[in-house]
This record gives sequence, C-alpha cells and structure tokens, in this order.
Amino acid sequence: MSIDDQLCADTVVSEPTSELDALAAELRRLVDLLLRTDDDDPALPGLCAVLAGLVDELEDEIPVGTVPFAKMRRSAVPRHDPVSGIENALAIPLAVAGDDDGDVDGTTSYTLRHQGPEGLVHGGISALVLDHVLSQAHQTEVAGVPIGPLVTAGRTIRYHRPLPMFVEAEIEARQLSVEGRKVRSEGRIAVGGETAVTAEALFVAKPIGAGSDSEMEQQLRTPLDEVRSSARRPQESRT
Amino acid sequence: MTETQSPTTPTPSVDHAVALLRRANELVPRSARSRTGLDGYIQTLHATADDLDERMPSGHDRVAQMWSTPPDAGPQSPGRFSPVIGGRNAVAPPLVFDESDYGSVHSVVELGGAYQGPPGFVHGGVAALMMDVALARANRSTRTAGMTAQLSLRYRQPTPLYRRLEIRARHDRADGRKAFSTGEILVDGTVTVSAEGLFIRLRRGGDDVDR
Repeated sequence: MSIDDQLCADTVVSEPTSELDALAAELRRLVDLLLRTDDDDPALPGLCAVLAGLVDELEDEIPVGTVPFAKMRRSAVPRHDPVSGIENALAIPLAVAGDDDGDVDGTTSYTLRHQGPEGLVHGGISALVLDHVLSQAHQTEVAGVPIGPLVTAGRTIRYHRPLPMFVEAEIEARQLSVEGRKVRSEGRIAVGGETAVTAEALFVAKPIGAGSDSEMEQQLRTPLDEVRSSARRPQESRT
Repeated sequence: MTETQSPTTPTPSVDHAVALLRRANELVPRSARSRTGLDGYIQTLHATADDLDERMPSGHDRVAQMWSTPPDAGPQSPGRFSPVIGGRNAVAPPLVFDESDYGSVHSVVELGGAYQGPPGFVHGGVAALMMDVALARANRSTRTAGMTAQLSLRYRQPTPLYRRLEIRARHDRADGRKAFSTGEILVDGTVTVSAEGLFIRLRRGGDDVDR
C-alpha cells in the first residue's frame, strides 16, 4: 500500500464505541487516580502487573505496516490528540460544538492532572486547550471557495485571571478574518462568564488541493522505520 | 540527561505505574480499531480504578495535602504532579531540565504518539505547554520567577514526533515584578517553535507544580 493508503485505511468518520475507547477511558481515569495515590498503596503491585501485561499484549498485536500517524480528518469523533482524542488517556476529552460560522464552544472542568499553581489550572494547559479550539474555529470555505487545511503561524495567550480547577469553564473560539490564505482567530476560557485566559492566533491555509504533505513535512517527518525501532525501545535507554 | 526513574525499578511506585500507563497509552491509537480481546484488561483496570477512587483522598483534599509539604520533600511534593515535569502525571513526558547555567534551562525529549497533532507532528498546544514551563523555569535562578501573564509562540516548522527535541529557554530581563524570557524548540539544530513569555511575580505565594 502507498503511505497515503496506509494513512487512510484506519480512518472512518464515525463508528460505534470500540474496546479501545473503553480501554482509553479506564486509562484516563487512572491518570488522575494515580495522582491521588501514595507510593506504598497495596493496589500498586497488581496495577503495575496488569499494565505491563497490557503493554505486552498491545505491542504484540500492532499490525505490521501500521502507520502511527493518523490522518486527521474532520471526523465526527476526534481520536488521537491529547485534548479531544477519545483514544488518548491524556485527553480531557474536550468536546466542542461548531456552528456554520465556524465558531466553536464547549465546557469542561479541569482536574488534578491540569494543576499549576495551587488549586489553579496550569497556564500551559490553558495554552494547550486554546491552541486546540482555535485550530477548529474556522470555516471550511469562504464565499464558496474551500479553504485548505490550516497551519498555525503564531499565537499569543494572555492570562487575565486565575483559572480554578474543579469548576466548569466555558471555552470558545471564533474566526475573525480571512485575507487571502491568512486566517485570524480568537478564543477564550471563562468561568462564570468572567474571562480567565484569551488567545489570538494567525493561521496560514495550505494551498487548495494540497492533500498530501509539503516537501518540508515529508522531510521532517520521522521515517517509519525509525519510529518502529524507537517505539519498541525500552524507556530507560532513551536519552 | 538522566531519567528520573527507570520503568524496570523493582519496587512498584506510583511513577512506575505511570510510566507503564504512558506506554500503554501510546500503543492504544496504534492498535487496530477493530481489535478485541481486551475485555479482561478493561474490567481489571476498571475495578482497580473504582477501588482507588473509593480509598484515595478526593482531588480537593489532595490539593490541600500537596501544598502543605515543604518544597522537594518527599513523594507528595508538587513537582511530581506537574503536567510537564511530573513523574507521576501521565500527561507529562516528563521533561527533565538541566538548570546548571544561570538564567537559562535546557531539556532534551522525544515525544511519542500521545502528543500528536497533525499526522507525524507534535500538537501545537503541547509545544506551547512545554514552552510555558521552560520559559518560566528560565527565570528561577535569577529569582524573578512568577505566574504567566503572556505567552507568544511562533510556529516556524512542524515539530516531528519520535525525534530528539531540544528545548531551550533563557531569562531576558526583569522590570519590577515583571520578568521576560525567550525560548525555542529545536530539531537537529533547526528551530521549529520560538516563544516569548512575560511573567509577573506575585507579592506573596505563587508556588506552582513546576518549581
């Protein structure tokens, strides 16, 4: 198969919940639970054994030729990214809804894994979330002309008020303007209507029809063979 | 660069479990979506999670516990909970910073599929998260560290997954309670992301997990 075929092979727009989703959900719970657990907890030896077994099981069954880089289409359910990805235990997972203008909004609450200053959300986590929603808040076409995939050129995040953990936060983003291939967007995170963090971003739209990667991306992307050997290397040998 | 903990450490600490969890998490999206046979693991993990949830202090209580511990003292010190440097936070790779030079910090990391944004590349928000911490820590040795007031990033090239990344940041200048720092992420000497940060020192308190 060509690399494009491989990338497309495992991508669907929507599908029923899989065992992987259920597994990711349990791993996700454990991310916060382990932050609440002490080193001498009696559950740890058993948990480590189960996780080690799971790692072996998953490693054995990864299909030959699987590309670890999923093609990210505008699928109904985000899969892999660390903010919204259903299959990623690191994800919140954040769900946002978009309207026809490309505006997106959603709510979430932040937990122990997101902590920065005492009781408050880590500033970098806010940056992560805003990057994510800003990338989604754009129209797919302007005046009937489709816009190609967006690449972030720059972003500025401003921190106005402390953002507390464990309370519902509103997240929104919208596109401000399109000039040629430059797209500007803004977003914010608020609690109870009070703005905590804002962001402005500049994106550049790839040329229309640029479905395949630019030469730069092809050069920069780590070759598959290196990824396979890297991903199977035990962690302790990483520099 | 030293690893904070080897996953083959015989005594299963929380960090060990988290290292295994990170590894499992990286493998999940690489597995065939249709695969089955995981039900046993799902149920066992579910039961373990329920058990921990019942016995462990709540998130709120844990926050209170963490911050009553002196800095760097013992397993509950806040640094271990950080989403960037924390050994026990699966969100963190974790980054380990070399802070031997005054006013600057340096780290080397390789990021796997859990941090993916565009196919094959690091999520732009993950780059921002790492830069926020690097820029903040660069101010520490100059005693001008504070809370992030503004963070600007320029994305020059995509940052590849599964490659050795260098993260550098340095204190630029201070002005009263404000401190400015700059930093970059590099691959093979090429800057992929550059960043500038403005941090403001509070009059009191201001501790956070990245200390």
